[in-house]
Amino acid sequence: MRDAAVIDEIVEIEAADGVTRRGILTLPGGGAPAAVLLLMQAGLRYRVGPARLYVDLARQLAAEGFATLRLDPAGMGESDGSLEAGHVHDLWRTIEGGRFVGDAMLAIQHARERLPGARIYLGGLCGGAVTLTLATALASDAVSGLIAINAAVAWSPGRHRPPAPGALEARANLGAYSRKMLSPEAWRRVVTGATDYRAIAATLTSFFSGQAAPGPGINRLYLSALREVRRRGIPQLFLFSENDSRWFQFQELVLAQELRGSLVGPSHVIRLIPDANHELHWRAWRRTACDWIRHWMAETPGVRPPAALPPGSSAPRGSREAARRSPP
Amino acid sequence: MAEEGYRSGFFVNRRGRRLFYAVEGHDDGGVRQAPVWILCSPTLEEKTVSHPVCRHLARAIAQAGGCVLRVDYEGHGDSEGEVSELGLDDWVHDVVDAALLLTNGAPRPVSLIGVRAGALIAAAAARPLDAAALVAVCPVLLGADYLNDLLRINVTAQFAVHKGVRCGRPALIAALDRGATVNVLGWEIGGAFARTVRDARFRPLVDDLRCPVVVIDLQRPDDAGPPPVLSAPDQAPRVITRGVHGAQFWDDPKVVDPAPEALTRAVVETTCGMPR
Repeated sequence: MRDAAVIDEIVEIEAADGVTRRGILTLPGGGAPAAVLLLMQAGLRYRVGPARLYVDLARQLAAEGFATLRLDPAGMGESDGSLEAGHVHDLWRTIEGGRFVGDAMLAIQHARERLPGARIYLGGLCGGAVTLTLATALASDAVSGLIAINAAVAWSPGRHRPPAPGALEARANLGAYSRKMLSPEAWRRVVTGATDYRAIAATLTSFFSGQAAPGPGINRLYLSALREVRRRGIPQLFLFSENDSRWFQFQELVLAQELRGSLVGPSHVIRLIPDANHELHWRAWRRTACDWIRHWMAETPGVRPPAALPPGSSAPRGSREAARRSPP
Repeated sequence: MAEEGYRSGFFVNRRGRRLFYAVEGHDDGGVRQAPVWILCSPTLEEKTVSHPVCRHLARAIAQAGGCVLRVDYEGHGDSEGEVSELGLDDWVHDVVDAALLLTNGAPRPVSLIGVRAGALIAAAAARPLDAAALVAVCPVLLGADYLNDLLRINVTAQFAVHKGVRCGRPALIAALDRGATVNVLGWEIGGAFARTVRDARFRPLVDDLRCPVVVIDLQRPDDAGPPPVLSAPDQAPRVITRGVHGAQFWDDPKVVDPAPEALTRAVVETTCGMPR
C-alpha cells in the first residue's frame, strides 16, 4: 500500500551551465515542512545512496515532518552529462576537491525557492560530507546546520599512492587481519589474488615501524572550509561508524587537532554508532543514525562549553564511550 | 537544456506501490514502428552500482532511434516498498505493469533487455508480454549460484562485525525459509527473494519463448566459448551468444567506466538489428 505520510516529487533544475540536474524531493504528507535536508552524493553512488541509505533517511524523516532533497550532480544518476572513466580513487579525489559543490549550491537555491521559510540542512556520507562542508563555507547564510556521516577528512590515496593508515587505523586493521586468519573466505581471497596486499603491507609498516606513521594527509580544502564553518558558528552533527576507517582518520586529523578532543563543542556534536560499518548496512545502525539526525534537527543543537583536551591528543576512552551511549 | 527525449515520473503497480520510471528516446506510439525496449536492471546493490552503465545503454539505444524505459522495481531505487517482502515474481509483475505504461495499454509488442539478475526477470516477463525480442546482458544463469554469492557476502560481513561467523550459509538459508531476513550489503532479503531466486534458471525460461534471444556476456581472453548453460545445440540458432571484453561493472570495479565501449556497441548493434 502507498505511504500517505510521504510525497515524492520529481525535481528538474535547468542550470546555467546547460546541464539539467534531476532529483527527488520527499515531503511529509502533513503540510509544509519546517526544515529540509539536502543529501549530497555519497562517493559514486547516485541519489539513492548505498543500499538506499538516502531513501531510507528521506522516508523516515518525512514521517517526522522533515523534507529531503536528493539531487544527482551533473554526470550522475538521472542528471544529464556523463562521468568520465577513471580509477575510483582518482574520481573520489575529484569529489574531495569540490567537484559537486556547484551542484550543492543549485540544491540550496532550489530548496530556498521551493520551500521558502524552511530551515536548510545539508547532509551526506563520506565524500558527501566534504561537499556539504565546502558548500556551506560558500553559502553559510543559507544553511542552518550540517550533518556529516563518516566524513572523508583525509585525501583518498590515489591510484599510484600506497594507502597510509594512521596509528589508530593500523591497530584496528591488524586486529581484523588476525581474526581473518581463521576465515575460509579470507583465505579464498588470498588464493584468488583478491587480497589487497598493498594495504596489508602499509598496515604492518605503520604498526611495526616503531614511530608514529604519518597517516593519510588531511584534505586541506576541507579543513579550510571546516574552520570557516566553525568560525561562523554553524551547527554540525558528526556521525561516525565505530568500525569505519573514516572514524580513525577523523580522530587523528580533526578531533585531536581541530576540536581539541572534544566530542561536544559550542557548535558541534559527535556521535558514534557502535559496531557500524561505513555504509551503515544494518537496519539498527540506520535507525540509530536517523534517530540522532531527527533529534538534532528538531532541537537547537546544544551549546555547551567544550571539554578541552591538550592539542594533539585524541579523545579519551571515556569520551568515546559517551559518544556511543544510546540515542535520544 | 534537458537532454532531448528524457522523461521520468512515478506510476502505481498492481500492489499499490509507486514505482519510479524514466524513458529515454521518442516513442512514436507505434506509427513508425520504432523499437520500444524495457531495460530490466540488476537487483539489490548491483542495481545501484550499475546505474551509470544501465542509463548509458538506454541513452545509446535512444540515440540509435529506439525508445527505452527503465523502471525501479518495488523496493529498489526511488520506488516505494521493501525488498524484504518481495521476490523475483513481484518484479516480473512490475515489468509487465511498466509495459502497460509504455504502450498506454494498447496491444503493442515490446522488447526486453535484462542485465544480471534482471535477465531472469526479463526472461520471465517475456512470455506474458509476448515480447518481440530478449537481450540478456551478463545474465545470472543460475539463481542458486547468485543466492550463494549473496549469502557469502553476509558471512564476510558477520566476520567484520562479530569478529567471527555466527551463522553459516546453511543456517542463513534455514533462517530465510523460516521467514527471517538476511542482510546483504545493506539490503534485507527475505524468504520470497530466496525462494524465487533459488528456483530461477535462465535456460528453461528462454526455452519457452518464441522470440529471438541474444545473450551478451563479458569474455576474458582465456574463455573458449559461450557459457556452457547456453551452448547446448538445441539452443541454436534462436539463442545467439556474443562475447565482449570489459569489466564487471556491477561489482564496485576499481576502474569505473560508465560507458563501456565494447558492451555498448554490442547492445546497440543487437537491439537495432532485432525485429520490431
